[in-house]
Amino acid sequence: MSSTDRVLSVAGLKVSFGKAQVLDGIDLHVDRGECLAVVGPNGAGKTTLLRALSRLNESTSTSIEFDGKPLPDSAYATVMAGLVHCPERRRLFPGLTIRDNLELGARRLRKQPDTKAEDLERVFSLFPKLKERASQSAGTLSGGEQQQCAIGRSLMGRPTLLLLDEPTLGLSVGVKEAIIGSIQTIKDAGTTMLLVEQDVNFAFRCADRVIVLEHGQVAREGPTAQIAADPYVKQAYLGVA
Amino acid sequence: MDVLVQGALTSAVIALVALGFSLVYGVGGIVNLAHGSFFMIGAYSAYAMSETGAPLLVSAVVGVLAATLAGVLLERLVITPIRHQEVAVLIATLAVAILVQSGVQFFYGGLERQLPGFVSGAVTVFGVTLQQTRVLAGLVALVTIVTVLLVLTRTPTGRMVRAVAQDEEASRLIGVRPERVTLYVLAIGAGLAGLAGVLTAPYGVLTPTMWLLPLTQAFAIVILGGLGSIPGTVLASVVVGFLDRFVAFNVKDGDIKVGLVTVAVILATLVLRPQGFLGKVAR
Amino acid sequence: MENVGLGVVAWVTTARGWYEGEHMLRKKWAVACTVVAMSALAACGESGGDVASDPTTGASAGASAAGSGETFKIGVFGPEQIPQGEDVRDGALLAAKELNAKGEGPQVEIVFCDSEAKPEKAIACITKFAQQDKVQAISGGFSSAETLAILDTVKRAKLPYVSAGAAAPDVVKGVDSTGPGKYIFRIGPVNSLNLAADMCLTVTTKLTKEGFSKFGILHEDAAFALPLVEFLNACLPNPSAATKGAIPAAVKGVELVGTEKHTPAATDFSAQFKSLKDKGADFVIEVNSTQVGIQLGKQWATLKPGFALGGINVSGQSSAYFDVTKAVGELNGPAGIVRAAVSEKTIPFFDAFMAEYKRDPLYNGAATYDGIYALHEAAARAGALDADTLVTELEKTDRVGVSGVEKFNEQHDVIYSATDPKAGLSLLYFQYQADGSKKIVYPESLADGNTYQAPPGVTLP
Repeated sequence: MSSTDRVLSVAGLKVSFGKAQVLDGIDLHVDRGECLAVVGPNGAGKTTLLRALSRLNESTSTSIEFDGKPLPDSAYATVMAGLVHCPERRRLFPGLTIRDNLELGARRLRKQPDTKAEDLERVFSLFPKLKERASQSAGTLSGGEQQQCAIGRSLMGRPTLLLLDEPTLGLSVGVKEAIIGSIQTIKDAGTTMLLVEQDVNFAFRCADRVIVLEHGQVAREGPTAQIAADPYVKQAYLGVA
Repeated sequence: MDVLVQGALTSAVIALVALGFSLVYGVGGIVNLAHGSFFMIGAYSAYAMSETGAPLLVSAVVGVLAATLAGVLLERLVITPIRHQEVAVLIATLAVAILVQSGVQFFYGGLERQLPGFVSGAVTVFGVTLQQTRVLAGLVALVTIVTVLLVLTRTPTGRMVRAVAQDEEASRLIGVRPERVTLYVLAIGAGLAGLAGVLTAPYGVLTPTMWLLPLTQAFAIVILGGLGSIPGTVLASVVVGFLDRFVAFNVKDGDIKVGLVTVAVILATLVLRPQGFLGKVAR
Repeated sequence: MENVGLGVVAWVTTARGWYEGEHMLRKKWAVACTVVAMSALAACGESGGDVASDPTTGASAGASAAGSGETFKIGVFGPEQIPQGEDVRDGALLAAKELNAKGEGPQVEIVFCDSEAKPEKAIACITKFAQQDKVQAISGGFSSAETLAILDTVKRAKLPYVSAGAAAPDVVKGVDSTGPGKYIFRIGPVNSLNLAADMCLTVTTKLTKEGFSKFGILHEDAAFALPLVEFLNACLPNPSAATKGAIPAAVKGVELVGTEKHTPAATDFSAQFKSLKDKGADFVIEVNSTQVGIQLGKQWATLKPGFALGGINVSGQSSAYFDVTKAVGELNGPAGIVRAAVSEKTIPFFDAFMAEYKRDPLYNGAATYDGIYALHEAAARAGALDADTLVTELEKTDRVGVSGVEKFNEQHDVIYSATDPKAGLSLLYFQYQADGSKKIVYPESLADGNTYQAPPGVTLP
C-alpha cells in the first residue's frame, strides 16, 4: 500500500481536560476511499477524537500524518489542507439561508477555480429538499433537513477526509434511513470518511472498518464483519447474548 | 413633523455608533468599552488636521482613518492577549477609554473645540428648518448604515461575518479565522464611530469626555435591541432616536429629561423583556 | 443625570444577571453593566477629567520684597481649561504684573490653582492655599457652583476672599462685617438679582420701545441662572412691584410667553426654539455662562427661528465667538464688558489685556483684575497683611475699577456706580454687527449714537 493511499495515520494521540485523560494514546489510520467508523459508549472520547483531529481541542501525539504531510496545528490550516469536520449537532448558521450555509462550505476552495455552482448542484441532487428551501433560513429546517444541510456544507469543501460526527443523533427512524442512504451514496462517490456514530447498526452498514473506543483507548479494531462477529461487541453493543 | 424629521436624523447618527459596538460584540463576544473613544478620536483627529489648514474633506477622511487605526491597535495590543477573559477585556478597554480621555486632555486641554462644517446655513425639509450640517450628518450616516447592512446581507464577506457571529466554532470548521474577522469588524466599527464623530463635530462640541455619551447610548441600544442582533440594533436606534426627539419637543424641559426617559425605557426593557426586541430570534 | 440613571440600570441588570445566573450570556452582560455603572458614576463626578497641571502655574509674577518688605501672596483659582478660567488666571497675573512694576505697596505674588470646574477641586484649592501656600488672601473662582462650594472652607480658613466669577445671590448670603462670613466679598459680577433687575429694566423700558412685546426665556440649568430667571418671571409682567418701584411701570404691556431650559452640555436647541416660536415669542432672553452659548448662538443664527435673541451669554463676550457663530444682531448684556469708556480704567485695561494675551477679556478677567487691585489697595492702605485688617480695609473700598466705581454694600456685595448712579442700574448691552464688531446700544450714554437693529429674519412692527 503506497503512502498516498493512506489519508490519515495517527499515532499516540492523547487529550486531557485538566486531570481527566479523555484520549489515552490512540493509534488509527484511514485509507483513501475508505469509511472508518468509531463506535463506543457515551463519554468514550469519540467526539473528542474528531475535535482533536480538526484541531478544535488541544492534543499531543507521537505523529499525525494527513495526506502525506504532518497535520497542521491550527483549525484553519487543517481545513485548508482538506480535513473537513461536520460537527455534532449540525452547527449550521441559523440566521443564514440554506444556500448561504452551503456556499460558505466552499470557502476553503476560494483560492482555487470556482466549483461552487457544480458542487451546489451535486448537493441539491443528493438532497432535493434543500433545493426547494434554498432561500429559507437554516434555523427553520427540521432536524433531518438540518443534518442534510450540514453534510452538504461539508461536501461543498470537497474534503480529502470528511469527519462526520453523530449524523443520526436525535432523528426518527425514517429520517435516519434517508441519511444513511445518502452517506452511502457519498461514500460510493469516493469520499473518504471517518464516521463517529452511537448507532452501531448504522455504523456497521456504512463502514469498511470499525474501531471500538472505550475509556479513551482502542478496545477493538478490525474489518466490519470481524467486529460485528466479535462476541464482546455483540454483547455490549448489539444487545445479542 | 419636527419629531419625525429630527428623529430620523438623530437615529441615523446614533445607529452609526451602535452598529459597530453591536457587531464587535456579536462577532467577537467583546464588550468594548473603548468604543466611544473611537468617536472622540475621529472628531479630534479631524479637528487636528483642519487646524493645520488641511481641506475639510481630507480632515474628515483622516479622522475616520485615525479611528480605524485606533481600532486595529486596540485589537492587536489590548484585546488579543486577553480575548477570552471577559472581565479583563472590560477593564482593559475601560482603561484605554480613560487613557484616551487623559491624552486628549493633555494635548488639547478641557476646552471645547469646534470643527467647521462642510456646509453652513439652514435648509427646510418638510416644513422643518434644520442646520445643514445636521442634515448632511444624518444623510451620510443613513447611506453608510444602508451600505453596511447591504454588505452584511448581500456579499460573501458579509455572510462570513454573520456566520462568525452565529457560530464561531462552526465558522472555524469551514476555514474562517474568527480572530481575523474580529479584527476587521473592530476596525470597521471603529471607523464607523469615527465617522459619526466627524459628522457630529460641526454641530456639537469636542471635549475630552465626549466619548461617554455615545458609549452609553450604544450600550442602551444594544440592550434594547437584543444582544448582538443587527436588525435589533437598527430598530432600537430608531426607537431611541425618535424617543429622544419626541421627549425634547413634547415634554416641558424635555431637553433635560431626555436621558432619564431613555433610561426608563431601558429599565422597562430589562424588566419586561430582558432579551430585547430581537434578542434570541435573530442572533 | 443620565449617567446616574444608567448606573441604576446597570445595577439592576447586574442584580438580575446574578440572580437568574443560568445563562452565561447574561452573566457576561451583568459584568459589563457593572463596569459601565462604575465608569458612568465615575465620569459623573469627573466632568473635566484629570489634567496634568502645575498648581503654581503662572506664579511667576511674584518677586522678593521690594519696598514694604513683605510679599502679598494671593491665591487665585479657576477652571484653567475653559476661557472663563483662563481669564481668571490672566486677569490676576496682569494686575500683579502692573502692580509690581509700579512698586508701590507690597509686591504681589499670585498662586494659581486649577479648579477644573469641579466644586471638590475648588475646595481642595482653598485648603492648599491656606495650609501649603500660606496665602494672605484669595480671589477668582468661576461659576456659582464652585464658588458656593468653597465658602465654608474660606470661612474656616479665615482668609479674605474677593469673589470674581459668580453671580448667584447666595454667594453673599448672611455676610456682614462681624459674623463668620465677614471674609467674603464680591467684586463682580453683579449679583444675579441685580443683573435680572437690570434685564427687566432694559426689556420693559428699552426693548419694548424697539417694538418687542412677547418675550420668552431660554436659560441654562445652572445655579446662577435659576434665581435670575425666577426674578425675571416676576418682574417682566409687573416690574414696578417686583423692584419695589425701582423700575417704573412698563410703557406698554409686556407678555412673557414661555420659559425653556437646556443643560450646560446641550448641542441642540431646535426643540426649545420651536416651542418658544410656537408660543409667539418675538424676543428670547438667553441666560447661559458656559461654552453652551456658542452652539446656542450658532443655531439661532443658522436657523433664523424668527425671534430676536439677547441676554447673558458669557461665551458671547469672547473675541472668537462671532467667527464661529456669525450671530449678527444678537444682543449681549448686562453681564458683559466691552472696550468702551465705562470708566477711565476700562479702555486701558482692555488694551493691556489684549497686548498681553492677544484676546479680549471676559467679564471675570476684568473682575479678577479688579479684585487683585482692590486687595492690594486695601493692603497698602492698612500697611498690614493680616486677615482682619484686610477685611476692615476692603469694606472701605471706593475705587474706580474696570466696570465702574466699585463699593461694597453691608453684605460685601459690589455696587457699581458705572455711569450715572442716579439712573439706577444701567449696565452694558452690546449688539453684534454684520462685520462682527460689538456696538454698545444701551445705555445710550455709552452708545455713541448706535441704536438697536433688528436681527436678520426678524421684522419689527
